[in-house]
Amino acid sequence: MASNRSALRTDLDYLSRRRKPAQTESPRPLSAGRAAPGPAAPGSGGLTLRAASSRPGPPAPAPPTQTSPTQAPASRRTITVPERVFPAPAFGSVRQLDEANPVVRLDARQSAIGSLLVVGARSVTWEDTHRTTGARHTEGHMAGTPVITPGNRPLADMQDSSGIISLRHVRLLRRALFIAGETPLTIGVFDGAAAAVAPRNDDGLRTVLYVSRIGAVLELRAEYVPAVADDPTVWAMFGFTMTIPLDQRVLLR
Amino acid sequence: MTSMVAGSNAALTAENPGLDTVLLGIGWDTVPSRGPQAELVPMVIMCGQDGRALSDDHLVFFNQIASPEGSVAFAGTEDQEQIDVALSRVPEAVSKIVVLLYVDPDVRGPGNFGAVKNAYLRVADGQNRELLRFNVPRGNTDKINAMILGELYRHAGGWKFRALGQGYETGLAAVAADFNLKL
Repeated sequence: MASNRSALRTDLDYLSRRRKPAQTESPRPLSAGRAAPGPAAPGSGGLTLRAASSRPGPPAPAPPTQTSPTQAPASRRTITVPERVFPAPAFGSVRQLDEANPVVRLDARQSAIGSLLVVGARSVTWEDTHRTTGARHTEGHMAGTPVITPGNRPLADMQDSSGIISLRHVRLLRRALFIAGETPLTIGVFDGAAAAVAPRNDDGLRTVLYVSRIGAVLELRAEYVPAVADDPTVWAMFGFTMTIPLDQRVLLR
Repeated sequence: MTSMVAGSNAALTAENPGLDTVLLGIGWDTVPSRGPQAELVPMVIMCGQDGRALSDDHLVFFNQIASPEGSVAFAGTEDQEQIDVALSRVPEAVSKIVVLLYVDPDVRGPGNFGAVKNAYLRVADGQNRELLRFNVPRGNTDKINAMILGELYRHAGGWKFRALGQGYETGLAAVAADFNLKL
């Protein structure tokens, strides 16, 4: 993996490695050349650490003048998403989304473990953090560009008439759409929380489930579009423009 | 650096007076595949005296990267993940800090530890000088989909580390049940 300790984590929006000030004192070596290991401290029934070799084992220790966790600030209390955004019902607390209750918000754990599964969608549309967009229909045809995660799975996909988002890589996702078919949408995550949305509202408008990522959490919103609108029309209504995929013959040269 | 075996423990603070910050480095290699791969995810759980998580917020992983008070934080991508633990700032209510790896339960064939060639957990001091290393022993892990690598725990006013390598066959669901987490 990456070995550049000085690089900041750009995917961590409020936390990065602390920079250590210029070193003024040599750290105490672990093996200080003792002639013999000293007696174990009271209560120490385990391995002695002092007998360790002074030669560092792989991976090699980084230069101590770069970054180090030793100089942590006195307080690093994190600002959580719920403190920064307007209140929304927790996912699982509302069993059915509709025009009266259109929004739910997943917590950081629900947003990142396993898959977001949406049964009953006719298509899924995605946009990643690089604004790469694409869509796949339940009948198999695809538009735009797939986003393949490091696990060799599409970030968003259709499988067995269900829309799927890979939550292990939720940080790659910017937003997604699930366009309802003719059956209710059922949304579920790994912890068993679920919600349903009718495929049409009382006025006959078609349901679209809009998924947006806000920091570490996903927010789900039921939106409504004309029932006759085809997928490209819906994409346009939500500001999606399909990106042109690169020709694999060029990539493989 | 001291290599550890499953079940062994080491007195971190007793043997290293003044040790206040430890860095937990976790790494692994998997068998390359062109198809969907098992995706390992490190996770840390801060437990009380009853061995259960203090709360769902005391679970730290890539999408919840710091404990509420900030004493445990994911902070780097060397190894595969690095976790900083500021021992003096760990709440008194925390008796142990469990480090585990789980296979992400993607519905599209999540896989298991059978694809893992090797995995380790190393404990280093604040200058990233390695104190301990636990290489997970190789064995039949085809049914394993979550594993406790080790734990930091309070002992006689200090902190010790225990290597474990304890596997789960029912993944995060079993982890959630054991630690009273809502996952």
